[in-house]
This record gives sequence, C-alpha cells and structure tokens, in this order.
Amino acid sequence: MDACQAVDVELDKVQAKFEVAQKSTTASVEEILAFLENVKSELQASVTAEGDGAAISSTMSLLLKQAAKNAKETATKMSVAHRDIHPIISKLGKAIDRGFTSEFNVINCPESLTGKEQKEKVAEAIVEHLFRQGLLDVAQKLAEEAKMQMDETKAQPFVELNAVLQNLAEHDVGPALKWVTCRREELEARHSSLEYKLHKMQFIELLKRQPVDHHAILAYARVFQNYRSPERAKDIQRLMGSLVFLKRGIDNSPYKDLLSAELWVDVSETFMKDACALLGLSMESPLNVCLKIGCKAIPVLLNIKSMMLQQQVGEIWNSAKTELPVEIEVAPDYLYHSRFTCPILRQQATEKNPPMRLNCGHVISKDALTRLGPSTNRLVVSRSPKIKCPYCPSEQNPTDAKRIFL
Amino acid sequence: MQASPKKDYSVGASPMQTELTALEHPTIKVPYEIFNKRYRLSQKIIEKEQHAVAAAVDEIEKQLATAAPTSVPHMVSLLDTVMDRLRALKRKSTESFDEDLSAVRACKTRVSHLRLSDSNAALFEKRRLDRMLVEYCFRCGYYDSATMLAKKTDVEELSNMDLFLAARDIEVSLARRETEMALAWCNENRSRLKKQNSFFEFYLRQQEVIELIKKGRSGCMDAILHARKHFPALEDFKQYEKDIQKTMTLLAVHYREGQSDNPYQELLSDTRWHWLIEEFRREIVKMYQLSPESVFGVTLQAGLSALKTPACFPDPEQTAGVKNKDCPVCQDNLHVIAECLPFAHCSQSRLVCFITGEPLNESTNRPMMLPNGYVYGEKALAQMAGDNDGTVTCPRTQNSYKLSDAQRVFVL
Repeated sequence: MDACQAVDVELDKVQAKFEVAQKSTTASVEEILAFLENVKSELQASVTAEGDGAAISSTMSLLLKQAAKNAKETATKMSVAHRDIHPIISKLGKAIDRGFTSEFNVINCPESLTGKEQKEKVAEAIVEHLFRQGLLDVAQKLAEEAKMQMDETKAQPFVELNAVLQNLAEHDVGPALKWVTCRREELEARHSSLEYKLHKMQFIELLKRQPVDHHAILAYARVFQNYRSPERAKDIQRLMGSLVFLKRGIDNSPYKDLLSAELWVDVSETFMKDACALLGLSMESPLNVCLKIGCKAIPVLLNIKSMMLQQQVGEIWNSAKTELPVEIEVAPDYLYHSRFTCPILRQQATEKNPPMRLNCGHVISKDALTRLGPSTNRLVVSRSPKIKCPYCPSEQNPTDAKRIFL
Repeated sequence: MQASPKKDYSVGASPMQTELTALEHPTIKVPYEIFNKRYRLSQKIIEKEQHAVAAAVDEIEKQLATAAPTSVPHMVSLLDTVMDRLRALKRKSTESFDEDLSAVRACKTRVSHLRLSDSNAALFEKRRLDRMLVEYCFRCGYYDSATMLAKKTDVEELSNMDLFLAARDIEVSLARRETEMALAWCNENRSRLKKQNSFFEFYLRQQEVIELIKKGRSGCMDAILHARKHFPALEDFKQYEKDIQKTMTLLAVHYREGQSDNPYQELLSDTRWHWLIEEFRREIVKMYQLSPESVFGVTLQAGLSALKTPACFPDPEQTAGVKNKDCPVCQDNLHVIAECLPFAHCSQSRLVCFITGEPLNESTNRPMMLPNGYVYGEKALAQMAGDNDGTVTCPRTQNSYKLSDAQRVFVL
C-alpha cells in the first residue's frame, strides 16, 4: 500500500469517527433536554396542585437528583467523545510521518539561493517561465514585487506564440500558417517540416468533416504539390490513399492513425520548437526542465544520503561539493552537452584532462594516454615509444593522438 | 500496514511514489498541523461548556442536599439554567465538530491531489510546479503575485495560502516599524515559540530599545526604562545576556549610523527591520512544520546540479562557445544559481550532437571528427554537406572542410 493510500485510509477513519461522535452526542443531548423538559413540567404541575410556595416533595427530589446526574453525565460524555478521537488523530500524524520524509534537503549549498543577486535571478527565471505559460499579468506583478527591471520586449513573442498554440489546441491551423508564411525563408534554412505538417492537419480536418466535401478535399490536396521530396511522397501517398475509405469511415480503416490526437500534439510541439529556435530561445521552459529533473533526482540523492549517514561516512556526503555522489539518470531529451568520462580512468574530462582520439579512432583521456606512454613501460626495453591502443591491436605514436572537442 | 521506520525510496515503489515520499511531506503535514491545532481548540471549547453545565447542575444538587430545599419556582429557574447551558453546549459542540470536519476535508483535498499522480501524471506535474512556485513566491514575500498565480492556476487549496496571508499583516506592520502586532502574535503562540526555542520576542524588544536609543539624548532614559521593564519579563532571559549587553552599550558609545568602522552598525542599521521580517517568516514556517528551505528551492538546486556539466562552465580563455540555448544551466539567470552547485556525476560517456542536439551512437547517428578535432553527428554533417556541395563548416570555429575529411570517433 502506498503512502498516500495509507494516509487516505487514516483520514477516512478520522472523518468517520467525527461523524459518528457528532451524531451520537447530538442525540444524547436532545434526549436529556427532553427529559429535563419533562421534569420541569412535572415540577410546575406540583405547584399548581399544592399552591404557591410549596415545598418539593421527596419523590420530586429523587427525580431531580436523577435529572441532575444525567445532565452532568451527558455533558461529560460529550467532551469525552470528542477527546476520544485524539488517538486516531495522532495515528494519522504518524502515518504521514511514516509515509513521507520531512527532511528533503539534499544539496549542501544554501548560498546558491539566498544571496540578493541569486534571489533576483530566480525571480527573473520565474518571470520568463510565466511568460511561456501565457500568464503575462502574473509575470508583470512578480516583476513589480521583486523590483525587477522588466523587459517588455521579452514578453511580446510569447503573447503571439500562446495565441497560435491556443488555436492549434482547438484544431485551427490558420494563425499558425500565417505565422509560417511570414518566416518561410528562415524555416526552410532549418529544414523545418512545420508548414507541411500544418497543411497535413488541415487536410485531415477536411477528411473528418461531415458531410464529406470531395471538392474541398481535392482542392486542398493541390497544396501538396509543393512538397516533392521523396520522404514526403510516402506520407502524401498515405494521405491520399485514405480517400478510398472515406465512405466506410477512416476510423475503421488502416488509416485510422491519421485521426489520432497525437498528431495534433506533435504539430504543436514542432511549432514550439521552430518558433523558439527562430527566437533563439530554448524549446521547453528551463525552469520546468530543472524542476522535473530535480523531482527525479531528490529521491535518489536522499537515498544515497541516508545510506552514507548510516554507514558513518557522512563526512563524504558533507564534503561532496564539487560533484554529486551518484549519477542521476536523465532522459536523452534533456542531455544538452556531451559528457565524456574516460573509459580507463573513469574520470570526467576537464580542460586539463581532455579527451584524446588515438589514430585508430578510440578516445581516451589525456591522463590515461600519458600513463600508457613509455614511462610505465620502462622495464620493456624498446626503442620505439609506441603505445598499443587498449581497445584494438593498433600501435601508434602517442604524439599522434589528437585532442577532440565534443 | 507494517510499521517500519525506514522509508522505501526504491524497493518496489514506482518512481512517482518515491517522488511523493521525498517531496510531499509539507503538502500533507501542514493541513494536518492546522487540523490538529483546530481539534485542540475545539476540545477546549467543548470542555468549557461542559464545565458550565456541571456548575449549573452542582447548584441543583446543592439545593437538594440541604435539609429544606428551595421553593419550586427557584428550582424551575435552576433547571432552566441547566437546560440553557446544555443547549449552548450542543450548539458549540456542533460548531466545533463542523470546524474539525472541514479541517479534515482540507487534508483530504491534499491527499486526492497527490493521488492524481496515479491517474493523470501530466496534470499532477503541472499542478505540482504551479504550487511550488506559489509557495516560493509567498516565502519571498511576493504576496500579490503568489495569490494571483494560485488563482489563475487553480492551486489555491493546495498551497497553504491562508497561512502566508495571515502572516502578511504582521510583516507589513514590521515594515512600518511597528512591533505591536508581532508582539501580540508572540503572545498568542507563546508555548509553541518556546518549544521551538525562538528568540523572536527578544529581538522585537531589543529593536524597541534600539529605536529609543537612536532618538538621541531624549530617548536614552526611556530606553533604560523600557529595557528594565521588558527584558527581565522574558523567559530564561539569561540566554540573551550577551545581546542585551551589546544593546545597552549603545547608550555609552555614540556611533553615528553609516560610520564605516562602527562595530554596532548591524544593530543600528535600518535593514534590521527587514531582518526581523525574515526572522518572523522563519518562525512561522517552523511552527507549521514547513521545512526551512522551500521545496521549490531544493528541487531547483537538485535539477540544476543533475544537469550541470563542465561544458556549461567553459574556460573563459576558450573562445569557442559551447553554451546550449536549450540547456537550463546555460540560461543567463539560472547560470548564476548553478555556479556554486556540484556538477552531475557521470560514469559513462554520453554524446550529443552539437548541431542537432540528438544523441550520438554507433547505430543511428555516428560521431564524426572534423580535421580540427571538433566532433559532430554524421546526420548533421551529411545534411550540411548536401546543402553546400559536399563542404561542411564547423559551427564553432568556422573552418570549412570536405565531408570526406571527417573521421570516425569511437567513444566507449
């Protein structure tokens, strides 16, 4: 059972207990009120029978005693009923503490966020993120509250992009096509497939339309004559092939994938990718990427932290300031730079220890290359300073190795 | 469920489950603390009413115990009192139960939000990001933006807004250099503050004294009186001895504000008011079991660290730029945050094409070295060559070569 479920179960128990207690206490207090009401009227009746100033009879006195006792007990019962819920509430608290970690700070570097400059930079990053979300008014407010110099020109492109995206979400390619037409040359230089994809989506929309308008479909199909490259041809053939099934319904044909909603997601993403590229911006919100990866990294780091602390090697954890102690798996989409780790020495490349390509094409770090060199082979009396590649039989002069830039 | 002190981060738990375990304690613990506080208050209210009933009943019992009980009309009126008190008890207890239950429902809302991760992970992740941002903005004191963002993104019930908005008035009063509201708050929460070993009340009193001293000669006498009145009234006031001595020294040594070699600058500075606001924020966050760091902050740091590569921080002497516009660490603003964070650990080389950003491997997109030592994916080079009659230009050095000059590179 997962933690949320466990907490949820405890919560339900607490809720049920409250409801039961509330019902039963209300009932019992109503009961005692009715009883007291009775006693009261009997008492008043005794007055009218015996005249004013009459003393309370002994039976009446017994009844009153009973009533007093009951009233007190009911009141106590009510407060006890409420108090009795306490154990189950603390049980809920324990379920929360058991299922969730209260200590989640895994990065030993508070100074990266607390400085004045750092705080400003974070606010700036949030403002940019809000632009991308189309929350321009919130972004403006934040810039104001964080006393930032706001660059209005930064917001402008996102207003336009968000409007286009909104229309794409409603399956309207009009604004997107207009956007493309204004930037055709730049997009062609990027080998963008955006324009074709937009036409394709418009064509599919026509196919879906009821009643079927063959003339409109055929008229629109002419647009594809601009796309004559061989890789497009197959796609266009499929689009046209689907016409055969128009009557029977494409959703029951081999072409039903043309109707999938994923194609719309894909065209939106292509649009965003191209638009951001033209603007010189990253495709995805950097803040979003960071937090997504951060959420994945924290459990891994917490795990290694608790392991290190348990094995009394906490100092290693505390001193690990230059490199994380464990590898965080990052999806290929989020790999932005090549990372080279020497296959021999298992060290990450640095400016001083760069990757070197041997003549045979294998790459090792400079340090590894130096160690392979003649100095380690001093016992072997050899005239040639040649080294053998650790991965293939090729022999070569170490000076032939070439520094590479990844 | 088996009670075990160890949390399962890995064993049999889904990745999302481990994320919840690691990050969502405050999401659920804060409304729980509010509920717990509410429950205790309810108990107090009900007990008070219960005692009122008991007192009224005692009156009847006392009368009955005497040899000559009171007259009937008096007894009727005593009975009426008992009934009134019982009705009051009923009303108050119903109210209290309702309040308790609504606090329980607030916890329920959070749990069902967390359980959304199971059924609709994408929506959950979006909500999570939004509420992290809202909380961070609140913690930084960006109240209006935080409120607006919470409303627009529909995370109002998920972001502990009430707590921060309640704190806001006190912060505003401190910004106006008034201590009254903050002192009243200390009074209300005395036992909790004592438990968390808070110096906040002392700091407030200290500030009052400092302000009097700052007035110059006319304020000094008042300052002494004020100090005499309030410092000893604080609990365990011995622990403040050093601070008190330092404060009182201000009476003797006259330093003007802004004087460069002033050892007491910190006490006299106006920024102390700002520091008091931050101190207050720390106390309130602690009181509601929120961690001292924001979830947003820690997650941002972890994410940046996991993405930080040496390439994001190139040698300034290297002219060839390696910044990647898609890389969060390479963004101007986040770059500053990442500067002192640890680099990602990398046990296996992973290559990506500098031009297309696609991963390079031996099967689909092989890495190729140009004669100048720069490596690119064969796909990108082929396309570039196709556009330029077989010539490729290194985007980092602008040197041109023939495509046929590119050589294979094997990275293991």
